[in-house]
Amino acid sequence: MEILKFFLISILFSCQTSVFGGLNDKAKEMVSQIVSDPPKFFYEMKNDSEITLPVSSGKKYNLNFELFPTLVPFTYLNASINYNLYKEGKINADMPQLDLLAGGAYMVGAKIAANSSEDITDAKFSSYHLGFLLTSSLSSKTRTFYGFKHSFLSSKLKLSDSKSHKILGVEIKNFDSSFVENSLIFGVETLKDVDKRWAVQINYGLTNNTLVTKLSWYGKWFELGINIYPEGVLVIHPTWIMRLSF
Amino acid sequence: MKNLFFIFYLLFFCFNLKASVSIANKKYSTYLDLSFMQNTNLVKGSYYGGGEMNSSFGMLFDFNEKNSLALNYNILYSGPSVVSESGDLKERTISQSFTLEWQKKISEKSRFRPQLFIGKELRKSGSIGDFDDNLYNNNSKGFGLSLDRYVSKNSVFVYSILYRKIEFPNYTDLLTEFRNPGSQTQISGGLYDNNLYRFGIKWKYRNYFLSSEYTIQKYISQKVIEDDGLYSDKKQKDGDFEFKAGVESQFYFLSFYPSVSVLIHRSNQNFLRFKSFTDMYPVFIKNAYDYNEYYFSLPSYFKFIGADFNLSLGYKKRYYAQRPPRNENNDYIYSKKQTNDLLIFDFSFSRKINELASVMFFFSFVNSSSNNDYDIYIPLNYNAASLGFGYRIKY
Repeated sequence: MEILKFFLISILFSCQTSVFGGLNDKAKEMVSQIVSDPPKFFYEMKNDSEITLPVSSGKKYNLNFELFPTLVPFTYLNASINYNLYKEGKINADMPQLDLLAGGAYMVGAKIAANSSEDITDAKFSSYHLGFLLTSSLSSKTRTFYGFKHSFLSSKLKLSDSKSHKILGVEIKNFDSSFVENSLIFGVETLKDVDKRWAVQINYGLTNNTLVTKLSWYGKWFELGINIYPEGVLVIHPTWIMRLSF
Repeated sequence: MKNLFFIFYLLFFCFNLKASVSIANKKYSTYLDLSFMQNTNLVKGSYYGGGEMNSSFGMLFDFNEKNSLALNYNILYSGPSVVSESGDLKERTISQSFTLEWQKKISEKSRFRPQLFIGKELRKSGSIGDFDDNLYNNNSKGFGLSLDRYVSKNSVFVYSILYRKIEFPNYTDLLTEFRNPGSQTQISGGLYDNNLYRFGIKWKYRNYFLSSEYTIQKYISQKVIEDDGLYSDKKQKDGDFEFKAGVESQFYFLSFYPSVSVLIHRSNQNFLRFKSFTDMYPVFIKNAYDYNEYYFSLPSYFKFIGADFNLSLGYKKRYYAQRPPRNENNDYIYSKKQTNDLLIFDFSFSRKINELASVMFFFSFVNSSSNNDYDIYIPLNYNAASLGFGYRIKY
């Protein structure tokens, strides 16, 4: 069922970016959006790998690796860890679960492109995130979680000076800048079956007003998700993540 | 303003730290209502995407039989759509608000509800750029007082007073900047700041309701432009009177909610029309913003094969009292007064997929027309369609 949902959403994702006529205009608009603020676009890709879900009951930490779209096709090598510092109600019945979040990503394709392409002389994309989550039970199957996350992305692209570089008529220029976002997280997680959960959350960035809704279905080994960036270049991102819990 | 919001977030977190108290002993409840929709819009042969994301998080504390406290945080994103009354169809907004309401039962038949409010609205005109620089970004804060009187089992009156201070930190003196391009205006922002007062009465009897609201907006710095092209000493003042009536009725399996409303808007502000930067003879229109508006709406609902279906038809007509329409050359037609028509048809169906979530699909058709053919800033003459899907989680 999750696989069916994933493919259905992927089709819808494709439709969102290439439907009906005006494809060329839409593509130009997307390239212009990327060129006007390149770090923000790469942050959206990287944000998919910033897993902000609570650690499952009975586990100490989750290790996550996003396979799609961060690793493939954007070649972001990534890992994130959610570490449970305090279990809900362990010492005090009023205290919620406290998890720490951390992770990083590095785009290996950028270096490869710089080394093998005459147009690109230097490229580097790296990032990290840190945060925390508080999780409280509302019922035996439902938990709400709230948290905060700090994200940093460093992006650099240097093109050769010998000619001008264009994509669909839009000129591409060098950039070397960073993107910082401090996000608030709100969400709810529901237990569907043994080791099967689904969650929905909102991440709202206070620094740059970025907004994303994340829907996730996850089990023991994998997570399927849909991240929706209403102001993003690619509005809907289907995601596929490998998760290891210990 | 950002610091104030951050303090409210922490307050919210602190309240939710108590959520892990034994469920059986809880005297409070939390709720979450999250919906998002993505759509594809078609206007004048051009396609563009849009969407909406609406999230409400709240808590209700019942201290005792007579006192309870409600907290609500709402964040609403509105993307490009097919209807817009104050800007371009592709404008986007992010609105945040915090509401704190105390509900006090003062007698068997009366309940008093004071309320505190803080809100922030950010806008962006297109896909490129950010939300920080828009002229109409605004912050608002204020309070409200409501009194509910239960006259009988089926009849309740609600009396309300509301105050908001609305600030526009980016709004500047556009007329002076237009006349003197590159000049530094003395007021770098806040020219549109105003105090809003609203008085309302609502009566609900069985399935019927009647309501009446009077709103005054007093501008703190914005002055009235006169026919000599200069600002007078008078400050701008706007007033709205709105009357609404509606009923909920059932016809076999179909539920109807027809309603009508009348809105009378008056402002002492005038309008100076410059055809171009070099126009030496601008046209003055006195009371250009006065209008009467009539709205009729017929939403309906029925359940079929486990899904909820909604059909809605709405029609709005606006008559400007003094403003003549313009032709496509931006020239006024003085023999007429501007009128706008808006027809909206909505269809949607939704289905629950588990105890918390439902999916929905919707279609909208809009026909907007006006005798004003010069509509390059706010579109008035178009047909539009919108098709989309959405997801809703409610707890």
